[in-house]
Amino acid sequence: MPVLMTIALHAEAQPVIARFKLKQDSSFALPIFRRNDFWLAITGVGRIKSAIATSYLIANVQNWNKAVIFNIGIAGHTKKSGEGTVKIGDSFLIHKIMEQTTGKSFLPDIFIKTPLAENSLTTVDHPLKNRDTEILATGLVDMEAAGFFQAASSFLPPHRICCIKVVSDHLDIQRIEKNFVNTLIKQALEDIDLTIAAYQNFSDKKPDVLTNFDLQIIEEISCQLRLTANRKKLLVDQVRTYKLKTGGDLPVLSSFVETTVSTKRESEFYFEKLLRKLSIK
Amino acid sequence: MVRDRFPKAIIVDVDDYKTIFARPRQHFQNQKASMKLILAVKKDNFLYKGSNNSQNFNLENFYYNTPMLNCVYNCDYCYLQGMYPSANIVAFVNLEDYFSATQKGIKNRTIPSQPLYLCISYDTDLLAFESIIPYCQEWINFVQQQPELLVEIRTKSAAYHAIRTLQSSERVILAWTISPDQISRHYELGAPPFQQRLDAIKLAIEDGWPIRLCFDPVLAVPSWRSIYGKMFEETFKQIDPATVRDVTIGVFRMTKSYFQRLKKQRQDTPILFDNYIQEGSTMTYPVEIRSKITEFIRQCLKNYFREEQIGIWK
Repeated sequence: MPVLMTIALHAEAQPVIARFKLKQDSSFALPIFRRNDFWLAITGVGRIKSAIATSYLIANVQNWNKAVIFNIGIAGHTKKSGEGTVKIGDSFLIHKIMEQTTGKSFLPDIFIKTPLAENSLTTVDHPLKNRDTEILATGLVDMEAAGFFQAASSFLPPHRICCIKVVSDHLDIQRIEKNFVNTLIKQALEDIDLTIAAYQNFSDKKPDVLTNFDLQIIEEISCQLRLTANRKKLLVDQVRTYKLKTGGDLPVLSSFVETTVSTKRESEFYFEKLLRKLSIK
Repeated sequence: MVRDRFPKAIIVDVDDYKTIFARPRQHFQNQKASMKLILAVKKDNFLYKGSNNSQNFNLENFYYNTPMLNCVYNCDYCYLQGMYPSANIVAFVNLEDYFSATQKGIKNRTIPSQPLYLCISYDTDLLAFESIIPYCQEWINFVQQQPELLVEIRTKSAAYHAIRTLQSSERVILAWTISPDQISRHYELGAPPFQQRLDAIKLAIEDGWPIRLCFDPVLAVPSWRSIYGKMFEETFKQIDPATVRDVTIGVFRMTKSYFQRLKKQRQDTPILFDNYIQEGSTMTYPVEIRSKITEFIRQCLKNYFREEQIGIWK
């Protein structure tokens, strides 16, 4: 399963790149780092840039439809320092992303237990000062997540889209030092890693009753009997039915693997014979 | 009240339940393993005309509603998996709007000589959820004030105790879906076994409720005659048929679009990989199998019930 990560700034990305030993691949138009099935795109700041980079990343990964994608980064918190329980360095799994500009909300589907507490987040278009927090819902504030989520959800199911944020401030500082950002992400890496692993290990599907061997047989027979796409689909269905109902292996089908057909009529004849062999009264 | 039942729950506010419930690419079975409860306000469609896939017992003013979407059980053959994009449970909290719409429906019904016949637990199992939200209690209390309303509450649940303190009403039919133990164990994940349902039914009969027994869907599993035959014997050994209002029979059937979606999701159950044919927009057994099953069951039930007490989906 490909693991994709989008991160706004290099300072945020650097500890993650080091942790997963990613190397930059300069063949892409955007800064992309990768190793095996792990991919990371540095998106730049803002929801539009985040959306663009997210879409670009997904579109360039083989087996993207099986991927899980994370937006990772720092975020401010609306409560003043000391007012609530949230502290600098706390990390959260985001269960609701609100887009300030449009008023829309997006909700990742969370099935998995992770070491992270949950929180909601608002994506804004401009850095906020503390006095602006009155207009926001209590929670985290960033500038990318809403763009990331909307882009990702055009491709992936909501249970494979995940947003992890580390609290960097209470919206009370103008500029955050790169080293400080670096440190915050580094300190949260253990939990981030465990969360990524939890998502990676979660499987969408129950093991298929059809084994690789069964699929190979189906492929060979389809080839030998020159089955149309529809007939091949019927054959797959029939094989699945047989295995589900009997709970056992397929009967011996070697004669069909060894058959060659030269006319459509022959193909139909052997196909019907095959279906009869696989039918259960 | 619902929040009190789940003190540790994480609560997330949403503007419209459909933004979560109806979004694409959700994974139904994953959600089943981790169901969320969505409390929502229904805005419209408080009454739906009854479907041809259900029995109406010759009651023409046949309607159903949806106070809740989805069910806590996870039956392999359930059409909800193909109908809804999400397995999360939606509970509509504005019951007063349902009641108003029902009163309007009663007033405007096309056959005034018959009651408004309303099934309230079709796309869900209200009794199974009663300890969390007491919908059955609310509806039973409402029906007491509506002499021209007949309500059916269909369930697989054994949690009859949740409504046991309520006064029975001849205008509330408690309808239990019963399956043989072999079917229940293999294909009705989470639902109580055969005997527990029978025990609940017996208590309900004792308390004077009109009872409907639903043998639906009947599945053409290997040795189905023996399996269902033994089930009927055991059921009517324990339950006096004279205390049962009526019974319904139906073989497996499903709207084609739901079936196709369901089959894609559930490649792990033999129930969906049987010899179904398409009749109109419905997937079901070929007519010869259907007739055999229906006739066999009808003959079994004729030993216990009059013809007019047996509702059959044809």
